Amino acid sequence: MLERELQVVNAKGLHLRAASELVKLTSSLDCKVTLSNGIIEVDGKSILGVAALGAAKGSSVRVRCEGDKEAMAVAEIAALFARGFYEDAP
Amino acid sequence: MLPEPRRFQGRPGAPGVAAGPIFVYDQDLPAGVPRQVEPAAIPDEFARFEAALKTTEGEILAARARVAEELGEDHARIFDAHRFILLDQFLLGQTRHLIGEGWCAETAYAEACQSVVRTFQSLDGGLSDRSSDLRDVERRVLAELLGRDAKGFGELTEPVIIVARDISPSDAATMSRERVLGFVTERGGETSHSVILGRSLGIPVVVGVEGLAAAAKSGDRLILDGHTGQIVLHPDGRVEEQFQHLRTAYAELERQSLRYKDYPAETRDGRQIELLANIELPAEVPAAIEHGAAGVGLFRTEYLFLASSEFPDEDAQLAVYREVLAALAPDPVIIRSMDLGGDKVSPAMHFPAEDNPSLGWRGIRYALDQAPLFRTQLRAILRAGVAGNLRLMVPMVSCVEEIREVKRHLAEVAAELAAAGLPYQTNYQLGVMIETPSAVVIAHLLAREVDFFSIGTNDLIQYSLAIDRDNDFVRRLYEPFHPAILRQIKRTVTAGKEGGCWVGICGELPDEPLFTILLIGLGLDEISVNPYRLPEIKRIIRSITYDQARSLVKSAWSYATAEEIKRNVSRLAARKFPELAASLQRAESRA
Repeated sequence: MLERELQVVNAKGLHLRAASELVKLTSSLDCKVTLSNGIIEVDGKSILGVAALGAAKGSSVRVRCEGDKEAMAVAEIAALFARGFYEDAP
Repeated sequence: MLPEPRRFQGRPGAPGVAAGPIFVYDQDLPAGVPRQVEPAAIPDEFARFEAALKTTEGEILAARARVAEELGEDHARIFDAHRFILLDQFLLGQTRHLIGEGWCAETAYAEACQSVVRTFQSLDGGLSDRSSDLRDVERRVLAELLGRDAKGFGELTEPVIIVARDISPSDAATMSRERVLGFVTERGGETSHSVILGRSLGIPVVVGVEGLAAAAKSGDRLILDGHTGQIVLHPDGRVEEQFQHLRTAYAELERQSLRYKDYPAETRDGRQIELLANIELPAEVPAAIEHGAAGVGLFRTEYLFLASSEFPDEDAQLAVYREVLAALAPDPVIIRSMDLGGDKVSPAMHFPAEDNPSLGWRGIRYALDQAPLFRTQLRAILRAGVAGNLRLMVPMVSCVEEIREVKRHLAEVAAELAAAGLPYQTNYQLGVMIETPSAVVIAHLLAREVDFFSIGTNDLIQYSLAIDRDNDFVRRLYEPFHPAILRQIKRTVTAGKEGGCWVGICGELPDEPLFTILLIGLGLDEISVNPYRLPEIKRIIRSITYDQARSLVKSAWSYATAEEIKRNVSRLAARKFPELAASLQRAESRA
């Protein structure tokens, strides 16, 4: 099991479209992904769960991966957060 | 046997004749009665649910592909989110659990969605955008289970006439416009959004049609005449032929009026009027030019903010504004800053429910309270301004503080752009829309702050006469010829001129030549209307003299009611301007 605290850096926060990018990634991973905002804990492969976190810009989200290639999984998720979920991509 | 033709009568919204299959747009969730099934039937419910999921996934993917092709990848990505919602394990788990307990698939799915909405609401009251996307997916799945059509506006595959209770601005923003032949709405008045949209797209609209949605289903053939408000459902050959004749006649009328397009908008005694077009989309620019517009007098920017579930960034806005400015240069383009709120809200705005939206958080009030959003728009406008002849106009101003605040933002934004080394326009005119009674009363004070006024007739009439133009009970009191309205225009023009401002008007002008004549006589410098009305307005301007129009205005002051003004002044006008006598009489007999 591996955990890491990640910052939401993109302007619009973890809204539906960003959540969609995240779920696109997490559903391709073999491990279990759990996200938490300190109040609720949700399945990282459920878009409705991720959206329910209501994570705005500047807030932090704790991600936990358990299972196959969990280190790689955490690193990929961290990179997606840092890239702002491609918010500014064309 | 073929169904019998059935006639319905509505009110004309936008002119033109259309014939084609209808698409009944149902904004409500398809309602199923909660129902339990026998234990033996539970496997069937599971199978129905899985089949509905599969079909719905196919629909979402097809919609994604179509939107990606027509509007671009950026707009299409929301359908990825919809697909993930459809396949969400939590939602599916809940639904399957309820089906296993003996509920029918519709009930189970609706309840599972409802529990997610409740979770969202309990976490944060303002998460309406997430709920609205979920609702969209829910609507598709339930429609599939109930065997109904739940297509959204964005995925029309063939040209259709839209039949709906009402069209909201955000509905309008997401529809594939090139596939809409016409609109028929149950609600709405002559100035509702479906009408404005129809007029700007040049397609016919009929409003206030009762009972049609219940009598018709998607795919039925229908003919509508936007000039008279007549509708025929299931037309037979004879009716089709009659309407074909009508269509030819209207097209001939349009062709004749287009002859005026290259002549200047000038009265016979030489007063030049700036005759401009109202547009909502860059795609309307060619129609504006074709109909002889000398520029754009009202570029509504709201669609940019209503079209998707997220606000456009600076570069996206810059591209749109620049396209319009460059296409019309050196002719002017008046860009109206965001006029959101009221009936113009999108899920991205997290907009609170208001008891009185038209007296609420809208226009410049909303913009100033959402400073980062507003400043992004101002930056995009100033940057685009280098591509053409920019004028900037601010909506819904009701006090001097608001325009001063706008000027402060403009100065700061300009300094930011200069510091960043980005080119931007410094030489542009700034104006306020005059659409609240307070703005009319303090027009002389506002004139010190800006370069021009543009009277927004729809809202000025609504606020001055306290009439909700979409309310069936009071709509008949909505009256442009009301003595109070003519006096407010007069007062605005006088105050503007004394303060060094030029004064124009934008909005839906009534389809009566007398109104245009009075506007000229009242001394307006600029008139901006929807592109298709330009030839007709130009013909009126070219048929009259400023001098005589002024004396008609003088005579109007002596009458106490709109009816008296219309009757008596029309008669006088017909004597003075024989060329217009026929159309003046037609308008009078209609009234």
